Amino acid sequence: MRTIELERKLDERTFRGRVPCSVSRKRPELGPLIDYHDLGVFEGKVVQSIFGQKLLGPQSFRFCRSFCEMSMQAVADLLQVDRRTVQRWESEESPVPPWAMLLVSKMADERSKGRAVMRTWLTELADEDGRPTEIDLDVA
Amino acid sequence: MDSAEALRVIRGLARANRIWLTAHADREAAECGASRGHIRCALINAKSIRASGPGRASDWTVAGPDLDGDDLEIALIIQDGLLVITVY
Repeated sequence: MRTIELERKLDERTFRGRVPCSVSRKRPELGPLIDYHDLGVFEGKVVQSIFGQKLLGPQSFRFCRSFCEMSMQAVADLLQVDRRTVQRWESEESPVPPWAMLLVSKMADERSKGRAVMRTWLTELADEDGRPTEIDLDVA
Repeated sequence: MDSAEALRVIRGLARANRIWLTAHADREAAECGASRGHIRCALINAKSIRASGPGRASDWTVAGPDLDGDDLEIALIIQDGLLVITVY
């Protein structure tokens, strides 16, 4: 089977991996073609490495977020911060806090393994905010 | 296939994850920080389409919002029930 080396550079670290590839008989001029599924497996290995090595950085954060197919707003809602805060983290205006990096890389790591424990837990926590904090009590 | 039909097919194939990328497109995507999540989102929600024109490596060029709502332009070929992305 033919393979091709893929590379991602995130926060001055380089991740490389080989994935299967094919060449179209009808359009050989396109060169090696990579299946979206195999690209997902490769990106999954990258997020596992980010989580496993506890890497921290704006590009790694964005990569993990997009691996989870989450918008800035969606991740801001889960982490209970403003969208602009996430934007500042990703554009290096302010450093990504280790706790946010840990949560997002954990979500990405779980997604790469077909799980969503952290995401479910964070969603439940975020939903708690919308619950009423006071209960009216009638006494008869 | 006209452009409206092509747009419908592209959205459907993207939703079904029937997407392939050329090595060139993957390198371009990596350089501009567009991971597969952004690509799929732009394809599923593609708003505009135009024929790429003669002499191009692609048949169609579509534009749609990525995960953050920023427009991503993608050139592609529809072949044998697959989307082959050639350029960003």
